[in-house]
Formats: sequence, C-alpha cells, structure tokens
Amino acid sequence: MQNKLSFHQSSVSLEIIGLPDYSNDEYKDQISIISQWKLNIIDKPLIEGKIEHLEPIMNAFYIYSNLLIKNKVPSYESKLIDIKAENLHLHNIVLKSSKPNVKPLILKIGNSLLSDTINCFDQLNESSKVRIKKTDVTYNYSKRLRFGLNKKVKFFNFILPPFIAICSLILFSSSLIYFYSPFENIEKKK
Amino acid sequence: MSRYLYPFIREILKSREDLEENSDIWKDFNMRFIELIRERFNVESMRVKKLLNQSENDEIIIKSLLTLSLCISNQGCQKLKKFLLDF
Repeated sequence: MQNKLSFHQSSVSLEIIGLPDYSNDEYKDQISIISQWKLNIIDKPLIEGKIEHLEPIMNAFYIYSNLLIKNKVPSYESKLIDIKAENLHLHNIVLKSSKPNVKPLILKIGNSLLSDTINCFDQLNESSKVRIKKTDVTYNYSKRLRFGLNKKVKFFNFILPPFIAICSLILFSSSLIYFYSPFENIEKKK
Repeated sequence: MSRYLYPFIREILKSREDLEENSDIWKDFNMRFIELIRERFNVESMRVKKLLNQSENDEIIIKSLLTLSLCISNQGCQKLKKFLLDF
C-alpha cells in the first residue's frame, strides 16, 4: 500500500505518491521513495511524472521566479521544461515528454497560478513527511555572490574616506609652498 | 505576515491578469497605493513621481506583490531577505 500526500494552495494541488524507506527507520506515513507525483492546476491539464522529473521541474520554477523578480530576462530552457514570459502577467510553460512521439504540453499561466505552484513546491520542501534530495543551486549561488559583493563594498567604504582625506591634505599643504618664501623672512629678521 | 495577506495579494494579481473582466480590485488597490505614497513619501523626488504615474507603476507594483506572494512559507522571511538583497 503506497502513501499519498497532498499539498494545496488556492488553485493548485500537488500530490506525492510513494513509500517509506524502512531500512532508514522511517515511519509508516513518511515518503522517501517517490513513485509518482501529480500537479493539478484548475482549468489546466494534469501534469504527472516520476521522481526524476520532479526536481528539474521544481528547479525550473524556482530559477524562473528568481529571474522574474530580479529584473533579468525571464526565460528558462531545459530538456524537460521551457518557461518564458509572454508579458508581465502571463507565462508560457512548455512541458516536453520523455516518451517518444508525444507532443509537448503548452500551458499559459498568470502570476497568481505561478505563485500558487511555487508555494506548493515550498510546502513539499518544508514537509517533514517527504524526503527528496535537494540541490539549492540557485539560492546558494546568489547568496555567496551577494556576500562576496557585500564584503568588497564594506572594505572600500572602510578604506576610501581616510585615503581621500590623506590625499587632500597632501595636495592642500603642497599648494602652500607657493606662498612661503624663506629669503624674504631672513631679510626681515636682519 | 504575507501568509495572512496571501488571498488578497493573489486576488489583486489575478484581477490585473484579466483587466477586462475584473478590473475593480486592481483599480482600488492602485488608488490606495497612490494615496499612501502621496501621504508618506517625498512627492518631489523623481523616483516617487514614477511610482505615482499610473502608466509606469504597473511593473514595480506587480513585482512587489509577486515577491510577497512567493514568501509565505515557513522560510519566507529568509527568502524575502534574499530577494531584497538582490533587488
């Protein structure tokens, strides 16, 4: 008997079907060996697949949403899924089947359905009952990059003001040389 | 907090998707947004003027709402921080 777990968010629901890994001392209601998953978006065709398809599709949605928010070109292409923005409110999704002679499935979703889908994936990621191998490539990358930039910016902010102050002091004091004539002073003293 | 506001945020985003059928929510939200900006921001600033311009502020409003709607999970706070750092 397989376990079923569902994650819902407004118009989208994600169903995970699989078995617990008893060799890893897991409970009956847990799922570690995912045999099938189904993504149901209201008024759209049902999307289903195996475990090897779930992670690339989840990553595609996460990467695409990051690109969309960061003002970069919102377009993602892979062997399994292509996502492109038609305009600010509409997104084109092309799901390519791994089976031969099957036409790709084309979906058009708005921002509301996109956020519902990503929230379903978030629920799955945070669920203690489902264990999937996660590779947070995008988030780790952006985090490292950002912290690297922050360190550089902090270093420059620290070193730049004293450097400018010393340079201006040298320039100002060197300009005073033109006003100072030691011979005149010696003559006056005499 | 965006978790509790998610149904409203979603409705606003949805109303912008099909303006011909359901434009009231988007119009109300846009009006209130402009009112609040006028009350609390320096209206003379060029950036604020862009926010007040109804033909130009669509993108920033939609991206802000979308950012909030993607941060309703338990780790939403961390996600929001990352988005804001990259903004």
